[in-house]
Amino acid sequence: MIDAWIEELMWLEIDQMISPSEHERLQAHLKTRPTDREHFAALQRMAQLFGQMGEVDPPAELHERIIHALETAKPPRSHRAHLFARAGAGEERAGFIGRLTALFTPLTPRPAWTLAAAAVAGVFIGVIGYHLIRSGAGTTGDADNARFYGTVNKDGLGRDGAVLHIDVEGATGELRARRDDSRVFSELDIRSEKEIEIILEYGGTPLDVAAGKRSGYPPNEVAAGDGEVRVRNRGDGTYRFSFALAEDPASPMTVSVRSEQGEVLYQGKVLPPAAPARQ
Amino acid sequence: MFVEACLAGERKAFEVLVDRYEKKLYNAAYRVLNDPEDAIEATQSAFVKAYERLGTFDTSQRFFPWMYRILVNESLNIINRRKRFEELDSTIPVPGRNPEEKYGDQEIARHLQAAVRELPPDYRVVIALRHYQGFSYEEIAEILGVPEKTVKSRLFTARQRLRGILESKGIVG
Repeated sequence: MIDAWIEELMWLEIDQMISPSEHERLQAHLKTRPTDREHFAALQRMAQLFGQMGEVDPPAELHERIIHALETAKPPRSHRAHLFARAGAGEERAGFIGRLTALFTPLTPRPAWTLAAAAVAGVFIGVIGYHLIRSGAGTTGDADNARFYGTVNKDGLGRDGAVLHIDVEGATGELRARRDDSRVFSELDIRSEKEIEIILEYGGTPLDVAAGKRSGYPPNEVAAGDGEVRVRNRGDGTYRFSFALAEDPASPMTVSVRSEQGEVLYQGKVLPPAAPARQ
Repeated sequence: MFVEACLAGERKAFEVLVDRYEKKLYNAAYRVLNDPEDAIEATQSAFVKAYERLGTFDTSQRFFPWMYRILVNESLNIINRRKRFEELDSTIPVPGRNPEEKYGDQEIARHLQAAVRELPPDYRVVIALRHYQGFSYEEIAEILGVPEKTVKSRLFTARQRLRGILESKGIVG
């Protein structure tokens, strides 16, 4: 019967994790013990058998299954928690000005972005004001646009449509949305010199995108996953898509514009349009 | 870098990690579970859990031990769920005097895999990580979150048992 300590040294030798002093000790032991030499040879053969087994090729469908599963997975927690925390903070602000500010709060406060967000918010207020003045009674008065963003109430609350102007370096555009019960219909007009990505994230609520591809995601297409819609654009593009809301949203949608290199050019929040009042 | 991109909301960045680790993780799961469908399930679950828990990953640490630890846990969960349905392979041939002559390499490999399957799950894991994945004791300790001496001890016992199983079936002399 071989001693446990010597067998341990044998495995350390086979694993190439033996120290020089242990190696010498083992060799000295084996020189005088032919039975232990045979045992050592048997262990080496066993280790070789493992080596002969090699790697197994995964089934072809494995990659697709993983990617598909990831599409329905929850986003990493820290990312989601970050969004929820910011959204919650926006919700706590009272009044119309507070709500408007909440729509365009940058996720990462930086001086340059603060200015950009303020500029976009100014444009937004201007657009709302323009429509309020033009419509008189609080409607847009624009038949085409009304199709998408409907009426805007005086206080900006309970509206059934929303519009967001995007004006950042290298890209200008407009995102319009209207709501019909549980579905939100959106239209995005965007012009960009370089490739950009517009990302609509919505607090982890699964978005059932009616138009646009769920995978592949080539430029100038719409893609969607769990809680987000992405549009990759270069040049002039018009995108129409709609999605279902599982429940009445309490948190704003985050709209981001990113450069091809992933740099965040703009990030703001939009309260999803409220469902139209039933007659 | 990929982890940070994922945490910034870039799911595509995670797919790079899938490409990098998918085959190795599948192999580790396959060696522990000895079943292709179970290995797919474990690998898929491990990636989904890793993605969802990425926020808990300490970016100052190496990614692969963390990823492997999730895979090992998923594999052990599958073993526990299916334990009562598992049947040990009882069709190993009668011992022979010269196993290397009696069986071809593939046959021996098959018997070896069957012998590994007879080990308790904790021992299967260390065997898979050491012999099929080639991790050092230190790396296995990092993956399993146990001291290195525990890894050595488990490996030693696992190999002794394995050798006993193979000897009793005439696979090694």
